[in-house]
Amino acid sequence: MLESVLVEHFSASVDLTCFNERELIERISAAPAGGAPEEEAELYRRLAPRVRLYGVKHLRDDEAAADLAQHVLLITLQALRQGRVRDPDKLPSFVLGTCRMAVLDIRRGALRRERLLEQFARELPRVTALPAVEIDLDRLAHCMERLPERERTVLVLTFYDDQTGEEVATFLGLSQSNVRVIRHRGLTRLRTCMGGAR
Amino acid sequence: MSCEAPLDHAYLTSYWLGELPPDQEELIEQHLLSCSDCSSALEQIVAMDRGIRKLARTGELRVIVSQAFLERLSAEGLRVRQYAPPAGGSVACTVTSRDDLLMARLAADLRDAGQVDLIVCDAAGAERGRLRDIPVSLVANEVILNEPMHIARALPVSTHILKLVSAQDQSEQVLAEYVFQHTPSDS
Repeated sequence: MLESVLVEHFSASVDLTCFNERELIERISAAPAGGAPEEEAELYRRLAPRVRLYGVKHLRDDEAAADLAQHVLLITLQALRQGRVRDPDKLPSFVLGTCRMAVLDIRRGALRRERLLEQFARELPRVTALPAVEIDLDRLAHCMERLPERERTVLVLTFYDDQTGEEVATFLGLSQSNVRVIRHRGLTRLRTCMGGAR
Repeated sequence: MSCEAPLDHAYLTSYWLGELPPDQEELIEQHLLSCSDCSSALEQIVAMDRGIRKLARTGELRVIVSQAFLERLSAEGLRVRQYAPPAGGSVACTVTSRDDLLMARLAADLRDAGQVDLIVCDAAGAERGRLRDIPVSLVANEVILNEPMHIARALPVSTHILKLVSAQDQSEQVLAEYVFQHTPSDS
């Protein structure tokens, strides 16, 4: 099975100290198929935004990313029900592998969300909307105005124009590492100004 | 429980922009799928990206941009009004309700100028604003200034002088100046 190959292929060489879903996964795996609906819904609620984010990164389309999240989580829950992923620490690898395959399918136009929903909708938890984080544009404009000129230009060229670090560096006669430093400094200032520094 | 090994913001930004090699990208993605904290941090970067895109498109940022930026705006169907007076010259200008963005194109060779400031002066030459240490392109012999639309639309009949000055060691030298004779538009 494809899912089994994915589980084996990806090693768990990743920092999983913040992976908090082990207990949920164990309860789903221990229950008879479909016997832990609340745990499945909770797992879905936690993982869906992360998978959607993967979709936004690779598909650059919110609707396609929402479809991806639905598809990948349905397959993941099915795999857990069928006992094909027993080690909770293997789940991130499994989800990532499933994401990759689904992105390829979506790009080929081969993935049909409706088909999957027909198959599983009655058994698996319903998905509600997955809203993206919204930003206060007025506040952002205010914070952008306070940036040094160089940082504002680098951020606008990078994010609006999708210019690579190399293109921005060529335009400004700087090294790519300099551009990255300016970009990072600008984003840090923005985060602080927006009140969201980590 | 919060993440004990949070991914660095600069690293996450590089990931989001597709700058990392595939093996590092894979490690980051596995971590993100297992970590709500770092996933939320990436969400914030994505939100910032989208916010900056929106602001750039509305023309409300005063920012130095590139020719490629203008081409992208045009490709998106936005109407960009541009004025390009020669150095030492003047131009009659306006902005209409149909314009989406307004650009001043200031031709100048600034390759050896060091730190360059852009000064906005009134008709009498009094300084009204200054952009310090503007980014200067080594491949384009001009400075393209995106002027906020809400400011331009509110201007009465007026004259504005833009000056590019080389600012070194507490002294400054005017490199070029440009006069904009603004008249409000009826449309």
